[in-house]
Amino acid sequence: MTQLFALDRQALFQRLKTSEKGLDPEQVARRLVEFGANELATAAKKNYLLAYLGQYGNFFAILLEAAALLSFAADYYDPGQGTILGYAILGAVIINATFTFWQEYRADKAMEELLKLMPTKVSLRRNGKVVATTAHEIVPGDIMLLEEGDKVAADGILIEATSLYLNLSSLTGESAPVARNLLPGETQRALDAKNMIFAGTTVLSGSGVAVASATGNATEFGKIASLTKNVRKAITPMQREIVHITRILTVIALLMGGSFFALGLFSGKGIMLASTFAIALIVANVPEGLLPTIALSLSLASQRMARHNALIKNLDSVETLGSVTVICTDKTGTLTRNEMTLTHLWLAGGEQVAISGKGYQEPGDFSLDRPNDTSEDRLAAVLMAGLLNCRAKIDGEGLHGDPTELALVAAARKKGISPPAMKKVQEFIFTSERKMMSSVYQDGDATRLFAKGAVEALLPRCTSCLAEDNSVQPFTDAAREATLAQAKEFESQALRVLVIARNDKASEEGLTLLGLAAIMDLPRQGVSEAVATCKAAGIRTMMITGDNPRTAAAIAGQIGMLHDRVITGPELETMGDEQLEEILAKETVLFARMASSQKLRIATALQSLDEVVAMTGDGVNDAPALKKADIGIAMGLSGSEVAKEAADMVLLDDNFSSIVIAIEEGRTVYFNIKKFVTYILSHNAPELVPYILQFFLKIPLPLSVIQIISIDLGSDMLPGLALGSERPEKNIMNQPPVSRKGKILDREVFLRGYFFLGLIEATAAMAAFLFFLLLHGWQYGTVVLADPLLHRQAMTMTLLGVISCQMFNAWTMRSWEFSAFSLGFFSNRLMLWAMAVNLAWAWALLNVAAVQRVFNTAHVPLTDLWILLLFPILLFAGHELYKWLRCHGKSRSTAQPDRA
Amino acid sequence: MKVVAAMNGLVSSDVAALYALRYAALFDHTLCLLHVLNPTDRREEVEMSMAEAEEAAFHYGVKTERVFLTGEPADAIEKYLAATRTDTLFCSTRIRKKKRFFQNSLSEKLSRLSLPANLAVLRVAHVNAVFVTENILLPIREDRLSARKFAFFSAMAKAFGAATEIYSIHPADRRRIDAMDTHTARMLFQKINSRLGHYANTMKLLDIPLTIKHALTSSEVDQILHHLARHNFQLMIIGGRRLAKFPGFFRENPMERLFWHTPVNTIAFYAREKR
Repeated sequence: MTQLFALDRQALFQRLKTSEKGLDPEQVARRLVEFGANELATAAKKNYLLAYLGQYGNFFAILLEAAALLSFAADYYDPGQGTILGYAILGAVIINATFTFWQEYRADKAMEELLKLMPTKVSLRRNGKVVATTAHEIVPGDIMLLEEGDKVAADGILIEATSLYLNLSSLTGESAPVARNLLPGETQRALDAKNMIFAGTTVLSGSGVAVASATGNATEFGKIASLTKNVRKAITPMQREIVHITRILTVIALLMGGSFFALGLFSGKGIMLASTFAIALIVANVPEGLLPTIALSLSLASQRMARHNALIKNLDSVETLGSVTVICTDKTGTLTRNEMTLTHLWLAGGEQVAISGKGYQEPGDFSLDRPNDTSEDRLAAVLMAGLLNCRAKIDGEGLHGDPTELALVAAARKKGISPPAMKKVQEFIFTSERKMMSSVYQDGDATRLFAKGAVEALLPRCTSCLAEDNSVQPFTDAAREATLAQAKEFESQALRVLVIARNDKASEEGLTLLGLAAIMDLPRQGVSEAVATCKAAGIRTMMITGDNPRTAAAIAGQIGMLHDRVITGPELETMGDEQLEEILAKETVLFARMASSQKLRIATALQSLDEVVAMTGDGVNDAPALKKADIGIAMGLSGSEVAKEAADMVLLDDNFSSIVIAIEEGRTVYFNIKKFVTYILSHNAPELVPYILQFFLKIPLPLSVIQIISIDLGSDMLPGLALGSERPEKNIMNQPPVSRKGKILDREVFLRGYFFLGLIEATAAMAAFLFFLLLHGWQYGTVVLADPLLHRQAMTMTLLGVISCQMFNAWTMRSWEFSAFSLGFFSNRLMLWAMAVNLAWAWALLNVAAVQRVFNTAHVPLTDLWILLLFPILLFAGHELYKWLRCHGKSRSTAQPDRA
Repeated sequence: MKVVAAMNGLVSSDVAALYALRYAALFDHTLCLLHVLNPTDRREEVEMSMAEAEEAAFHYGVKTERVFLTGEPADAIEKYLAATRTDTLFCSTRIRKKKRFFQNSLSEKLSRLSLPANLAVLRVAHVNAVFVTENILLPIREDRLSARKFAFFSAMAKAFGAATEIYSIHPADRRRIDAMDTHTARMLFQKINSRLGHYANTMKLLDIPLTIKHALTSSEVDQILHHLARHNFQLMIIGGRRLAKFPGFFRENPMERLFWHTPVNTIAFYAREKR
């Protein structure tokens, strides 16, 4: 029994059927089909056939199917037009199901494409050559080349290692660097073998070469990832809302349909007529376009968000984003650049140097507070010492190495300093115990050592310093005190302080102090503005960081993240849940020195306070908190695969500002759906009223069922979809979050759609119908017209009355609060297309014989169409006035009943 | 009797041959290394793989023979098995079109035929696991364990000297699981244990350590994967299912999902047809 990690080099190659040169392309291609791509297989594959069939099982579809059955039954008892009507309704069901499915399918495919945006680049040795490829393409037997900063993409056994330290926190939760070498040690467990590397971990320092032994789900990381799969996903607010809308409208449809069926039978209208009424009322009440519009709206929002580097994994989460009340965010890389910048230097002679230019690439200037003749030389000496004692490098291919070292390299570049032609002969590596590192160079016959490290580690080793006149002087107690005082001052500004020293022999004792380097991870561009936007939007932002409280508070201050108090991880440990909830209810807290596992507790406490929590995370230990949060947000660049798997959203740029943009989109989706629901409710009244009037009054039938279907699935479909793609309103981030308890179909939507706009449209439709008949000699009481053409022309007027009103309605509905004129005529191209198509449709209803046959319409002379002009304008003006009053009226707060 | 290893020069078929070898060594059978020639063949590699398997067989004192067939692979293998006395045919499987490990594969074709031998289809996750097999898992649904499957499972355990676990899974919907109290669950598990008692006794006689564990779940495959992630198994043996004519037409095949997601080497076992 020989574990892979216990084999010698040759046996290992033999066992994995590879060699020093690596695999050849043909072997790689074959192994890819044998072992699969190096990726974590996630959720079960969606069965699209089942998904399509499922479209026929939702409430609305069942209602329509019942209506179709009813018409077939009516036709059976009283042969007439029931069969055609039945087929028409079934056609509507099929069109609706297909359209909804197509939207969801496209959204899924778009999502799959977007998820492909997250590959990790790796270096491999294949066929004797170094190749750069994506992590997905690694197969067992590949030779992986590891450098500082690399993310390990597969499990492997080291065959070469130079001062290799890994961060195994993504597997073990322990963030301390772990040394790796070529000897496995006394163990039988792969996880304990010191010559093994694991997928999902990061190379902190050093370099190595390893043979890939397992990929994808077979890695240790893959096993952990599968542990998160058994978590049950709760129903999202959007799903709940769809169920709510569906139920309400179903009840209305059934009640109306049932009542009129019964009334029809009891009043002796016969089963055919009673059924026609019932069917018409059911069909009129079912919002056929609801589901495809919601799917489209969510899909478009997710695509817009992806353009802003926020990748939504679950479409329903888009809407949840609109309800977010608290964002719990990491600091490093999310609020800050994760690029250490050398902002200040202190020279051992006593001068302080301020350095401008953020990050690694920006140019910058050096300004000394009291320069003298030797200042520049000593400044150069400090920067040179820092540069020579680094493994990091910045070149055309990018950045390589530890962030702190990159800051020193970047500062040297700003000053135009490049390394001299000296040979590095030795390196004393950095460890968490030593807290320092040094490099030894051979400069001709001379030997030079350059050191850097923490104040407490390096300062005691200094016996001399580079004085103001550039001479080496003894490091007196006074000088030591001054140095310590300066270090403390830097630390009080949340700067990380490094001591820079050198020696003329290869020893880390008896060093000459050159100066202090003060480094900071500066806030990202745009984060301050994003934090301010959150504040205006009523969203609390809370920083949760593993860093010390001083640094956390300093960064929070710089970006305007207000907080009432700072709680550290150890303090949190001593707090009970009730105490934590009490604090979170009253205060905005900054959490410092926190372990990943404590995030879950914070998320739980906030949720018990009814907050909607967005939580960021990157490590494997963050996964439970990401699952628990209402919106789990993983970091795309620095995040582990497990965190990405557990999250609802992935930030491709790790940037806090992207979260805020995503929230804006979430709110937009909510309001777009609200607009759309109002819009479709508006056409329900003009579809229902003609039947109700015809039932009670002695008038001909103003609108046929097929014409109702033509409105629901024809003329209203595209404007509805266009409303779903409307851009965010200008004040959307100046309002409180959408309440979790708020409903899309609330009182205002119902009244605005069904009664206010709906009744205007119903009046328009009936006015068009009756005026036309009266103009052509009809007298009240004549139910069956002698001239069928006249009846069809009148019905055409009713239909065009609804279509024209809905076209104007769609324009005015584009904004929930603001005037349609303020939006820009061309700002929603889909709406323009929708209008063009509707005009063409109206023309076809009037002029195309085939269309007229199917939809019971007829040509109406232009001289009669004037009746249609008045009501759409009235509706438009009425709704614009309503919005104006809503915005400027006294009861502004009550005009937004859905808001918290 | 023979144990046949179908080889094609791929790493996974080499691993399948090593499993076949250990199985053959247990019963002192002859190991037959079989390859069906085809136009896109890499015969050199196949012969190299066969030579390696023969070397390993020599180490275990197992007799070997090489067989090269021609024609349509499934038919050729079926005819060969019909003409020889074969205990078990071991073969590996790889990704087919549309990211499938099993569907439309030669292994699937073989599983549909009424073969006169057992069929063991291997999905390799770890190349080295065949050398370090210490724990073998057999997930079953409730107490459904055929004598033939158990015989294969116990034989593999004996061949590797491995400890074993039978993981009895009780599919139930969430509501039923939530409603079930500890006493009811315990009674259910005890009933299963008593039904599996004779298998446990057999394992005791064979001196193979056996643990029986239970799980109530609404998702069998996820539960198995979860279990594999939490414990240290090197081999899993599952009962092969002969797929319908249009497998995956209505829902994803659980075996396909297991093959796709498994973090350990997995054998799907098909018992020989009764004659």
